[in-house]
Amino acid sequence: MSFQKKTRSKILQIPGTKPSILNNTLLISSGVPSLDSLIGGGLPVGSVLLIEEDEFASYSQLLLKYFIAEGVICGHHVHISSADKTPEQILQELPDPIVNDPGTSKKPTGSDDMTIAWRYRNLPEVQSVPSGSTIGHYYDISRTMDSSFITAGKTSFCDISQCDASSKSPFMNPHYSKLLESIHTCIKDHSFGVTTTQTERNILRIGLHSLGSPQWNEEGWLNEPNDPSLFRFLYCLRSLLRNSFAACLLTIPTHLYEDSGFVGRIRNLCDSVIQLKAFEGSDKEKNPAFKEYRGLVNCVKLPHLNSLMPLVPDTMDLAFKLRRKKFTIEKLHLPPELSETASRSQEDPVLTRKSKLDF
Amino acid sequence: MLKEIIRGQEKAPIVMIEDNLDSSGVPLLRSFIRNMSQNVKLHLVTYEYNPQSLLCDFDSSAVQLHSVGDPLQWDGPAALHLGTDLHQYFESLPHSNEEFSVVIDCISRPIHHKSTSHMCRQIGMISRLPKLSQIVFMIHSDLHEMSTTCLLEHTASTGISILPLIDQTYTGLCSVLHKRQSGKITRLKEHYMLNASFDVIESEEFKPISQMLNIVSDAQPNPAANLTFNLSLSDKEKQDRSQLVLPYVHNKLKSNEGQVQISGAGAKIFYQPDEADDFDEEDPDEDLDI
Repeated sequence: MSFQKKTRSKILQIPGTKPSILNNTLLISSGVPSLDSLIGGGLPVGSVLLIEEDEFASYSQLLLKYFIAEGVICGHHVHISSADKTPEQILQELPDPIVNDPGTSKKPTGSDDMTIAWRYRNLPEVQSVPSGSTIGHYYDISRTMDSSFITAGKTSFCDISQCDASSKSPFMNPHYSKLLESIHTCIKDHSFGVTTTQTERNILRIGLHSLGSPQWNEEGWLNEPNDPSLFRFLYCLRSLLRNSFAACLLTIPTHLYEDSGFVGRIRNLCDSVIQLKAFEGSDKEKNPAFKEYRGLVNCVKLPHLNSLMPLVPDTMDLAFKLRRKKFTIEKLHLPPELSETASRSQEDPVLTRKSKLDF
Repeated sequence: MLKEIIRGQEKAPIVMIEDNLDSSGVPLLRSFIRNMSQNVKLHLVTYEYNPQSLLCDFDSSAVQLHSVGDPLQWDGPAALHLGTDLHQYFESLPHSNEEFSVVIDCISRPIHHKSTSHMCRQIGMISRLPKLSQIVFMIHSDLHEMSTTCLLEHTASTGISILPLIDQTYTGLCSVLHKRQSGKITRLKEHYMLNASFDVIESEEFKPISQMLNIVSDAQPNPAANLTFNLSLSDKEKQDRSQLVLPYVHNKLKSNEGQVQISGAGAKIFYQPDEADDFDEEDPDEDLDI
């Protein structure tokens, strides 16, 4: 009887990916490391991440750009589609990657040594991003990515903004069927399918901007409340992704839909759902309790591929911050009480709130 | 803000004017037509108003009229009617290579005729025409549901909603929601003043009276202003205070010093606590060397 050393099966080595320690899925970064840690280390390949847009879509669009930029940096194939603007425009507006991450550089300590609250000195620092993750980069949103990063062979577009309905599909709205067709051909042409034997694997990233916005509607198709095209599209998209080395991030302006059941069906068809609620243009923008944050993050659904339960984070009270070089999702804290008036009144506006990041 | 938008100093590619029966948006629309026709070629599409009444006595040489009458096409096929695909209509117009802008007097009728999302897509497609500089349209918000105005507001880059006038010294009051290309959102209420030729001469932010009162009472009294004794510290005093080592501060430096001193003396205390000892392992204040 001979013992044989158990050899590990050959793990796929694709740049920009890592295997999940939880459920044996392959993960890619969403471009925002703190978002990765929220959804269990990264976006599982083969899944759909839905970002529900904030009212003015500025932050959801930023997340989409991070996702695409991460793909460009890792050398993944990127497929972009939009009806509100041309996909080329989105590709041109990608943020610039930062070579030495601000997350890894140590903060200088000493100047704010706790002299009065000295008991807190020994407490571990709150980390928004767990160290040790090997995927994900930080980006500088004040500069756009150098076009030399973008290789022409690894990008493809599906422009809905100017197309006219040429194919009359009885199954779904022609815009959606056109997009689905383009994704299908992209998977087939570049052999991203799991069944194809390929020596060198790559990942396909699909970024869909503002899906289901009024720009996607087509005349002559069913009226909006009963239009099943979006659901049919999402079904088909998910089944396509499950059988290929591809992941999709899509943003949907769900605040435009009146029917909550409509939104519920959309959420049901995506693997993970993150809702953004920006303070911009609302009363909360001037509320001192929220002055450190740009908006709230509502974790509607977390991915649970290959497992019964998703990885549940410590808290669901999350908010996002935006700095020039960093978009972070953090636990929602109240700010320290520094004002002279003891009570924190809701109406009290913060008058001197001017940072570099105000557009 | 409104003045800059009308004068074209603030870029607003898609402007929506929302009015209702009580407060009309026509004067503001005239102001837009006047300012836009001075800069570029203007296409005025009228569904509802008489184009001459909108143009007043402006120099109309730069304005091309597209009137929608004859909805049932009794007078033969018309180029422009209620069901016309506006995007295709403007695309097929013979354009020279100069920029142009589009004003639609009221899109309430085509919305009722077609659908909201169809109109949104039409406006979006027109705004993406390569030579278009600006598109302005008006809508009667009291004729539609909230969702309609929401969808249009989402499509538009700037929404101007006319409000009932409070201060009679001004021509009108409106709330402006302006989305800049960079993503900056401005939402404010503004009074505006138009002159006889519908040029905007002034627009300033509207402040409700309660807010104005707040500003007056905002100055808080300083209780430490008139005291017979000294309550504040000078810089020198503050510096001295910061250098004082407080007894409870258990810093590394101090504990190291203490150990050195003991070992330097060459004496060590070995103490074995026995059962009779009431040895407290906990150090609630963390100020003891256990």
